[in-house]
Amino acid sequence: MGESLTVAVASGKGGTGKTSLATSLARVASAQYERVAYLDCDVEEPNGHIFLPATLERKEIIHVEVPEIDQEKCDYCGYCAQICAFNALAILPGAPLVFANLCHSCAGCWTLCPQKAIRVGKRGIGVVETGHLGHMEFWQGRLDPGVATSPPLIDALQKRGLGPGINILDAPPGTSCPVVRTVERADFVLLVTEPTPFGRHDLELAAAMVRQMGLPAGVVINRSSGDDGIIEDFCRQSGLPLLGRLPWERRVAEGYAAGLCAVEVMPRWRPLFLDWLQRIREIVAGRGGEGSAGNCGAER
Amino acid sequence: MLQVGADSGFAVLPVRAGATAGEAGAGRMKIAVCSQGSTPGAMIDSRFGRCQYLLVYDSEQKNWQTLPAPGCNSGGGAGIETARFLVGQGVQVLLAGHVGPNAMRVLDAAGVQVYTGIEGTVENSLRLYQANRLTRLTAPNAAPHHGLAARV
Repeated sequence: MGESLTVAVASGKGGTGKTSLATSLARVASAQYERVAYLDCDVEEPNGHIFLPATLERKEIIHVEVPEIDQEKCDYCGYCAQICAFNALAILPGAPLVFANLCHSCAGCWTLCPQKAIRVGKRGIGVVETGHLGHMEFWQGRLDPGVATSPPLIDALQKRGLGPGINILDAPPGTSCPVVRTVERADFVLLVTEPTPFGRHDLELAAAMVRQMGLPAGVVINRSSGDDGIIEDFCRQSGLPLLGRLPWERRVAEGYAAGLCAVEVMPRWRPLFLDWLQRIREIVAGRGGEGSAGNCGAER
Repeated sequence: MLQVGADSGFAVLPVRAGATAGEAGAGRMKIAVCSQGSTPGAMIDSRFGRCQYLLVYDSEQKNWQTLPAPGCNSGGGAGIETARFLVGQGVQVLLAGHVGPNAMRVLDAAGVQVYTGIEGTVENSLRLYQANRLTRLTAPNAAPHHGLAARV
């Protein structure tokens, strides 16, 4: 199988079972497909390694660009601080201050400095690590404590880890920048939810996000108690396909607490995951040329 | 009371190295107080970066000036933004509740003296300062993003 398929597992809400589902999907897929890569894009709290205990083989420090002010050339005009949308600069007479942890590397200051007094410096924000679990590729990013901007690290992680075959992206919770950056390279977004008002509320946010980004998506209900009307209604109204559900199962929760993902505890669920993967392939293939137009053109 | 727009340009400020506490220091001194309201009778704002107003007392003119603080709606770096603004206004002394590390770095670099322990109204806080009852702050006394939490 030469083609590649990238599936992001996301959910508006934390604690819905994203990681349990994404790691299960990666395990099941790796038994079936030639190359499978799991990428833990929740770089602030990566925990996929608990369920996929890969041996880490390589580690790379990731840097972002930040301004460095050449005091010989700076005339303290303050223009860079004026145009900085993130207040990362304060220019006082004799003391140009850079707050690198607020910098978003937009390049505005060093491009527009009238005195050409700003050099491009480097700041480490975290690491990308990789290894194997059997023949499955395992990738994760770990953001350094105190770093506020995770999208550049997610970017670096995906640039290194995405390849041919099946790529499973484990997204951070929520719908903010790190999630957008995680899903924007995906061919399909698998939205995990639980059949509760909280689950539905956050699913609505996540569904609005993928719709706005023009990404094909589908829903999986986790911890289903049999009565999933609250989510089924939303799927009907919004036209999101409901791919399936995983029943509430105490043993899965116990396994989770012991570091086992869902399919390790419930091997009979494997066909469900394979079935979802197959349906995702069909949906993505069905969109054909239309799919490429849907990606917002947000090339980075 | 004079209203000054938040976007008044950056003024190059000669740092007053000799400025001392209280009214004893020679010459004109501008003292800023973090406030929730626009008048000297208003309650202080214990936050610095995201305070609503900065009320500035001119020791020579003996009058107050109301400055809407620029950082109160800032997306990030509010302390830096407010401190930068304050320095641009030629203020030498700041009376505040909590000041975070980023703001402190800017205020330090500009030689602005920071005093903490303000309470009650803005006027009252100025009196405390004049009576030498406030504490000189040389290191930040709040964590970053302190002002985003509920007002203390």
